[in-house]
Parts: sequence; C-alpha cells; structure tokens
Amino acid sequence: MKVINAVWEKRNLGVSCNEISIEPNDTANFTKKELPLNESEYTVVKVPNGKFDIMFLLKELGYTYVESSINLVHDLKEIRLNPLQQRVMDSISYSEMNNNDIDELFNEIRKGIFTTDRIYIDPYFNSDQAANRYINWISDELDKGCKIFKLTFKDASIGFFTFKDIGNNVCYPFLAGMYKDYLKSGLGMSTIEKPLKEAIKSGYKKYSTFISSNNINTFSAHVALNFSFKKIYHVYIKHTI
Amino acid sequence: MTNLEKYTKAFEETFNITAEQTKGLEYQAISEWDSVGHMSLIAALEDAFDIMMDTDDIIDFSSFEKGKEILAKYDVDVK
Repeated sequence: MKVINAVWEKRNLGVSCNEISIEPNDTANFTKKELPLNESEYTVVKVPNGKFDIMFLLKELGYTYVESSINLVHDLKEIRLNPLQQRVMDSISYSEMNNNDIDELFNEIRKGIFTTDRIYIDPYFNSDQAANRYINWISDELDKGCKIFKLTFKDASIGFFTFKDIGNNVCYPFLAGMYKDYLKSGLGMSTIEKPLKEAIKSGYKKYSTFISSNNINTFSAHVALNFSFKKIYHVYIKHTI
Repeated sequence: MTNLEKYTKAFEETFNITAEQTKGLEYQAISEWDSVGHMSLIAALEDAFDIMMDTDDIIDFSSFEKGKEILAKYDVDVK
C-alpha cells in the first residue's frame, strides 16, 4: 500500500487528503487493518483491476466508487484519420499559449468545461472547487516546465491541451478540453490529434494518457485514433468530515 | 428515395436508431452522437448527397432539424 499525503488538495478543496494506491501484493486482510489508519478528511483509494476482494472490502469500509482511470498509449508511428477527419483537423491549428491565452483558459475552466471528474460529480464539493483544482494543477505543472497549447479555428480559441515530458521519450498530455462555446462542435478529436502531432514533431516515442470512465466521449475519440489499452485502476473515495 | 428519407437513413445507420428517434434529436443527446459519431454522420451525409461541407457547417450541425437548414445551403432540399 502506497500512501501519498496530497497536501495540494488542502489548498484546492479545503480538506486533508490521502491518496492511497493498493499494490499488487496487498491482501484484503492487510488492507482492512492498514487502510483505516491512513484515512484523512477526504481519502482516495486506487485499486488495480482484478483486486475484487478489496473492491468489496472498500464498500464495507464506507467507500464509494467514483470512476475508473484508464491508461491508453499511442506508439506515435502514424495518426490514422479518414478523409473527412483529416479535412476538419487541417482546419484547426495549435500554438503555445502566452499569458493572455492562459488567462482565457482559466476563465473557460471557471465556466465549467469539465463536468465528469471525481470532484465535480461529488456532492461534498462544488463546481468552483473543481474548477480551481484544475487551475492550480495547471499552474503547478507550468511552474515545473510543462507546455500548454491553444487550439484555434479561424481566429477563435476553441480549446487547449497540456504537454508534459515524463522521461524515456514518453509524453503525457495530462489535460485537454474544448472551450465552452465549442463543447458541442464535434471538434473534440482535435484535443487528441494535435498533441499527437506535437509528440511526433518533438521526436517522442510514446504518448501515454489517462482517461476517466466517466468521460466515455473522450475514450471513444482515443479509440478512433488508434490508442491501445494499457491498464486500468478503480477509484474509491470516502469523506470523514 | 426522397432527400428526407436519405437524410433520416444516414442518422439511423450511423447511430443505430429508428426514424422515430431522429425527431428532435440533438448532438450528445444519445451516446452515439459524440465527436466521433458526428464525423461519421457528416461523412454519411456527404456521401449520400455528394457534397463537401465547410467546417463551419460541420460545427453548426447541432441537431436533426438544424442539419436540414445546413443542407439547404448545399442545394439539398430536405423537407
């Protein structure tokens, strides 16, 4: 069992938070004994697929299942698009953001462009907390050197993607989305196709990302762009306040 | 086959729904009409009517009814 004191969630959500990852060798008996000793005001438990006894145990211990996190990877050998997808993607460009673009992005996040994450859907939290968590997350990653790009159609900013190097020639675009006015535009695939292009252009060998099972549309767009499934873990939460 | 029948058939076959379900249908109202489904629908309509839609129109194609207005711009009368 790996326990991380997620101190950033105190700033984001106003609660203490431990993020606990169940490891392959953790048994249900061990988890039953150790988990209660490591709980916080808001506890997040990540369970690898196949640990069914622990999934049932978590229910017994008062945890709620909120999502599964699906790791998808792309080998960056080829971006396969049909002619229509190619035509539409060719009409969208991307460029690295300046400070004004970042302000625009944060305003878009405050408008509520993300509505499926485990904070937004949790009645213990509110949409402002969910939005601020994203803004703080992006700000922290920018301080650590990640890149952030805007997507443009004609002269309008329509969305964004982040781009992070995680070593070994692997990039991890940890967050992407369409802006409010373009959420229903059908252009969502650009939030995946453009980072793929950037990854190939920058010489990466692999693209790795995590998709929430609550966001099936994004999952389906990754499948359409030939991502491969790598692994999945299930996320449970518990509030003790 | 009339243009309306061809138009409706594109929705039925793309989203695996009935003609009845196309009435009032809007983007994302069913799980099949997501961004991937949207591209499939537009491709089916371009094939059916031998047209090539502008990206602006692909973006604006937000419902079954709105699509009829958009196709009129390409001289396809769907009524």
